[in-house]
Amino acid sequence: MSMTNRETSTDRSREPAAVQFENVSLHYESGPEILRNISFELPRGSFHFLTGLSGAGKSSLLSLVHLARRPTSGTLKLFGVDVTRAPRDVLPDLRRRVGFVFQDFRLIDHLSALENVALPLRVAGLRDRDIRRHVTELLDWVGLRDHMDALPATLSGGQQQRVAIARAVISRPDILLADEPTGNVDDTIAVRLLHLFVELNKLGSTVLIATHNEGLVDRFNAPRLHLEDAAIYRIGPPSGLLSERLEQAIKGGGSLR
Amino acid sequence: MRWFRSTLPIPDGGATKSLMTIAGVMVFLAVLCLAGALVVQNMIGRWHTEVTGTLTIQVMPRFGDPAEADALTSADVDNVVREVTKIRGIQSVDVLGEADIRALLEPWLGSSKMVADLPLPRLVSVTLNEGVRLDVPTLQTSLEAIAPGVQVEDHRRFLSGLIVLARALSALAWLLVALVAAVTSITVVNATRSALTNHWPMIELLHAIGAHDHAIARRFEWLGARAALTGGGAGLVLASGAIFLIGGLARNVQSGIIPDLTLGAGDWVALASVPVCAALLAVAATRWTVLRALKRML
Repeated sequence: MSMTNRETSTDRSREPAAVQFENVSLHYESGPEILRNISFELPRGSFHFLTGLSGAGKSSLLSLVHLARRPTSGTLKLFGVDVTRAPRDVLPDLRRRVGFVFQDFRLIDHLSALENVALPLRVAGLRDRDIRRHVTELLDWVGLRDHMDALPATLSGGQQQRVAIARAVISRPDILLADEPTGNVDDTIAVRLLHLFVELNKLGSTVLIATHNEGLVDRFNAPRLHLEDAAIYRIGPPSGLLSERLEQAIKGGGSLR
Repeated sequence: MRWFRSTLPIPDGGATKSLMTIAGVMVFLAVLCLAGALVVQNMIGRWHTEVTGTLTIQVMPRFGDPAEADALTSADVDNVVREVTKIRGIQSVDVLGEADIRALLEPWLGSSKMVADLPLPRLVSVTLNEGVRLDVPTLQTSLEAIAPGVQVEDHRRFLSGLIVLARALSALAWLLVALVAAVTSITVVNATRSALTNHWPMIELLHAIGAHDHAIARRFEWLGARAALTGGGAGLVLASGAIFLIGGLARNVQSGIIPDLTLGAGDWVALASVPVCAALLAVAATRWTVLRALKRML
């Protein structure tokens, strides 16, 4: 991919965090609290895993960052913008800066792999020929060159997942969120996909990956946010394997309270 | 056009096909109702002009020796014409010839041979200048003094009932047009809701990746407008055929009883605009429905 690093670490230190939770709580209707008074921030260019048991609230936390819902209380800021109070019409532009790999992929059945991946670029208003060039390049990179015109139903689970990931990263989002992105692939593919996230992180994206695959998390030297009993805990990175740049990003971030 | 179409790949579903059919039927009905309203309005306009711009004076025939009676009647007519010509605001005064009078009576009394021996009243047609209104009772009184039994008819009494009836028919036709528009709007809203339900996963995804509500709505607006224009165009063609057919049948009757049912160029422009109005209505209804549904999401 012909990507260039858009930010420097010096620039980042002056800018507000990519994601900032301040005493955020969340509950659905009259249900129990999913998140209780949690505070943390993800500096720009950082890489974090989000872990926790099934039902701990990982997807709910990601949905807040992805602007699918607002917190019940507290303040959530993306790039310094208070999205808990921001008017609704400013949110689409913020959403375009956030890539999301859905747990259930959410591929559109009647669209080819190429058209599925192209959706964020269409939403952004790119021209057809630019869209085709970018998407072809990325699908080639994730190993789906021969399946560009295939409909999702004809792809394996792993291939669908790669299409979903390609769609999330095609517009080089400032924040990349992934909800169990390796749930349907074997370990070899999972590591390869995570390396894709690492590469994007190197190019400046802030990455947050929700997973329950502890073994996979242990292979990557990134800090972990752990959700348990509606509270969040930070678990520091083990001795790691990540690139120097990623290590710098990790050192610069994670100001958990 | 590309801007209006929107490049979001929301597919054209079955809902727009049914919308196309319904739009065709609705435009067909709306065009017929509108044509009816326009014909009636034109008729009222013509009648109104006749009522306000003309008078007919009926000079009764004298009885007695035919030659003498005819001379006296002619003298009455001359006196009436002389008197009426003195009035300010008169554009023209024309005495209808006997042949014209018999031709006028033919639809009611049969061939002119059958009424040849009947003493007929003489008719004087008076055309007023635009905007001039005469005091008919006063004129009647003054003319009676010079021509006994004369009657001044300003048609108002005869036509006022017809005009009220025509206006009621016209109002009814417009009401039908409004009802068709309302039903079309409701149909469009339901069809759009159906399309939204069918494509909701995709809409949620587009929303999630940053599509603005207006961009999503625009795609549905395009689908609705296209269905309304296509179906409406077909409806217009069918309705135009029906109007030509009815107009032709009415002309064949050749009777003064059936009024002129022709439409002017402006009327046809109005009728041709019905599918466009249907498309605009579809756009508005679709936009309202889609934006309302999207506002339920953050």
